[in-house]
Amino acid sequence: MAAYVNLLPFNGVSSQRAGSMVEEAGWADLAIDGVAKSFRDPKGAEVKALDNVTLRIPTGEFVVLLGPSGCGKTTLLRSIAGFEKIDAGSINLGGKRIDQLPPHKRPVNTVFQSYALFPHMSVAQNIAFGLENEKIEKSEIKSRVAQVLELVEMSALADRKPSQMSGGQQQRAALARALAKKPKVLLLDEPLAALDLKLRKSMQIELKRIHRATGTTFLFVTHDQNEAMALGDRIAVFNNGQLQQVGTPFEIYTAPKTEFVANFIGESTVLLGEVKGHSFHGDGLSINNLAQTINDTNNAKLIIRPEAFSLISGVSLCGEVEIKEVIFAGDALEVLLLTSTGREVKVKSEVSLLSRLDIGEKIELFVDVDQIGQLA
Amino acid sequence: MKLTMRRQSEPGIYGPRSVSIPAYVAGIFLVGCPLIVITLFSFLQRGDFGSGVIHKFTLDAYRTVFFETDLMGVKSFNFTYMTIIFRSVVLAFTVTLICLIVGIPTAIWIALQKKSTQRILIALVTIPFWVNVLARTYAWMLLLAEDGLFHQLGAPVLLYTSWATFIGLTYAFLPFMVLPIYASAEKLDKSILEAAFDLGAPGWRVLLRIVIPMIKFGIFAGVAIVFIPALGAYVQPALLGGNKTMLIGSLINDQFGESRNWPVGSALAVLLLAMTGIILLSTRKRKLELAS
Amino acid sequence: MGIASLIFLYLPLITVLIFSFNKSEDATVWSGFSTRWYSTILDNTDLIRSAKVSLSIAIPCAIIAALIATGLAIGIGKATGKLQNALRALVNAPLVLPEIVTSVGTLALFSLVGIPLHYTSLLFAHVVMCVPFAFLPIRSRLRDFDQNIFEAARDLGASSVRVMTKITVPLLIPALLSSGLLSFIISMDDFLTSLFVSGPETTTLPIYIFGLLKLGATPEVNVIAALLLIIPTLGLLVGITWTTTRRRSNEARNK
Repeated sequence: MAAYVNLLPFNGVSSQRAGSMVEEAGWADLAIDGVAKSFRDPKGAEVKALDNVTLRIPTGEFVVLLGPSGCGKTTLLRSIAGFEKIDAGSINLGGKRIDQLPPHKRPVNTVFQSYALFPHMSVAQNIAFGLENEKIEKSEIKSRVAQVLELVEMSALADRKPSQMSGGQQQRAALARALAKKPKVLLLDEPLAALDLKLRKSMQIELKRIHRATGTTFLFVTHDQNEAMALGDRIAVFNNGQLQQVGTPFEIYTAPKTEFVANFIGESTVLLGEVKGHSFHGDGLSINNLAQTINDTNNAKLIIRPEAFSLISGVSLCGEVEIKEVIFAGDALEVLLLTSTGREVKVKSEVSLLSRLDIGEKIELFVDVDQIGQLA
Repeated sequence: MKLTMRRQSEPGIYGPRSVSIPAYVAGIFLVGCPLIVITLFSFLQRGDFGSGVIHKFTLDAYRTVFFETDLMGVKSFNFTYMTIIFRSVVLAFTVTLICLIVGIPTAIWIALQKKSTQRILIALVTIPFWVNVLARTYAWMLLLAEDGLFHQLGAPVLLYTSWATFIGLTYAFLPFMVLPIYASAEKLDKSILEAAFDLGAPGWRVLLRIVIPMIKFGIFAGVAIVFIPALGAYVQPALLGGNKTMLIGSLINDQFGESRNWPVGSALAVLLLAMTGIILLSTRKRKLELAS
Repeated sequence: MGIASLIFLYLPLITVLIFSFNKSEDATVWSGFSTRWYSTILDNTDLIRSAKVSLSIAIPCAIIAALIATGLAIGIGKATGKLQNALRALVNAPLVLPEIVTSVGTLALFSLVGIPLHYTSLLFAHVVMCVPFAFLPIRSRLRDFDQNIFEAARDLGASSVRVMTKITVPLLIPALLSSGLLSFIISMDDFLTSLFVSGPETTTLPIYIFGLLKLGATPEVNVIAALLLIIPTLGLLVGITWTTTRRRSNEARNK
């Protein structure tokens, strides 16, 4: 119990209130089961925005929904918020079914990409609005508004109107407004998309801090894979309405399950060929001493990250390749090479090799077998 | 192939849907019912002493409008009413045409000015709209009268002729033609015009083959806004045409007033309504075709 | 061509204006500058009475039409059902159909149902005519807002009614004012509907003026026509400068 005091929303709360807050904000797992949603495109064809999506999110986790435009991640978020009706499946929160409730009755709150602050109200009034919709006393509202403003470090701007604030400040205000209601899940719809790079990075750190301070479940939508890996405890990758893979950033990066995930997160090379007895032959390359996890198959797809390859000897040799292009990337070289079958291999190499690599030249390729993954 | 998802938000996002009920009630009772009632009246019998109607079904009203029987009992087309209807259509058509010929260049000219000038010019075009149509029509009474300015300057006396009605209508409806065309024209990407000139096209060609097709939408809107009211105009023929040139509007007013033949007046109104309906439906079809 | 059109539009109006200051009793021949006819109109009790009648209809009409139109805009939201579209088309009809048809129809309806032609019936007829005009500025203003703010209000626990009272309506107040003003002007200027639907005691200003006009040009009519020109023009100019200065100060404040 004591461990949870640190996770309580808004530090500095009396311990008596703390107990009851744990009961509320506590055990509210989000369960998404078999959710499907279709709509008709302008030509009349049916488009599956969400295709049998199942996902379990334990309380307090920071989960990122990642994918390209139109993949369904925002549709899922809006379905949880209540702005889209799902055609099949169910959404449960803390054991209670919420997908049939109207948006204002769901214990979830959204931070919109456009911030959606009420232009005719000050920041404090914006925040108070949500609280006024619950039966809370005026004095309590005042103190909660002050608390949440302190949490997002905006106390000085309480009486400003949205038009008088910068993008980053509006962002924080929108966040504070949503958090004030102590939702069981906080939904964030690409909230950092409109900020410039530096501000984005600092807001990412802020978000993590606020997440730790409140202990609320965060569900964050983005199409930026770097952002996803920086923020998420776990990442759920979507494509074409289907959930491709769920895992920690490390799992997703090192062990992608599908070609889409492999190519969406980081760079990779996919080799096609045959695996027999922990040896791979294909695409003009041979790799021996593969890990135990690599299975024998005639239709093998091996996935290898650029940093797993090397152009300097000392690691397992897999064959000879021709240099196609060398790109200087500041702290490393990105080298594109072609195998004898024409397969493109992406290698991350030390900058010191720059003078030794000539386009058109043939060179030996090495790989660290422990970093090789297999796609289904 | 990326598909943009249309965000389907709840229809009632601004507030409860029931708030629109007063509007619907008003629409049904005070817009829908009147239309139904005059259609009804057109099939009823003229009341005794001309006042109101007798609830008896008859086609007399339509018969009067379309046919007339002379003393010998011979039926022929009722040229009186038919002429009036025909004249109204021709007049409305001519007014619309002139408004187009004058309005399109005016609207384009305004759209080619710089932004601040455009605003001033549009304000100038809009101001007459706010002035009561009676005052605007009276202005022409003043100019076209026997002792008016135009006659003093040598022109023939035009007041109480069809010409006066025509001028009055064109004058009243010109802003209605200019504004929607301007709205279309100002959305035009000027760089397309520049590209056309750059490729050596002469001015009139650019106008005809490029500009006009692109502002089709505004032109259709302008035509509808001018033609339909012009068909049913009453004030201009009454004040400027001196009731010698009767149009549908004056005819209907007459039937509901002095002549006291409500069924005939209703029948004429129904005819006018039918003509309006046809025009509206055909412009809607064109609009849908344009939009897809 | 453009300039020619503008001249065409303004020449008659300027002529009326000039002649309203004509010295002699001849309405159409200029004989010198004088404001004598302006002072006579204040003595015209019929004119004043009809003006009062018009005002007494136009002001309530403006308020009621603006409210009904706002209700329509809010309630309709973004619905696209067939029934909604049909009802909307019906409410919009006065904008699209010739006024003679709608006014005659209204007269026929009142006659059939037995509603006497006095103040209230005329007021209703005016309101129905103004609603489609009042609707336009409100709907366009609603669409200008980031639509997400209404969703955000729901998201934060507000019922439909609260969204309307706390968010939608406060934000619509400027549009409500323009709607009201638009309806007021349309009601004041209306002739045909008032002609058919009014009874003996509800002679509105335009009806009275029309009666005068039928008799031909006179100096008094010159003055009345000139006033009908001057008042709306001045009002418009005031309105335009007010909105422009407000826009400029908003832009300056937001920098």
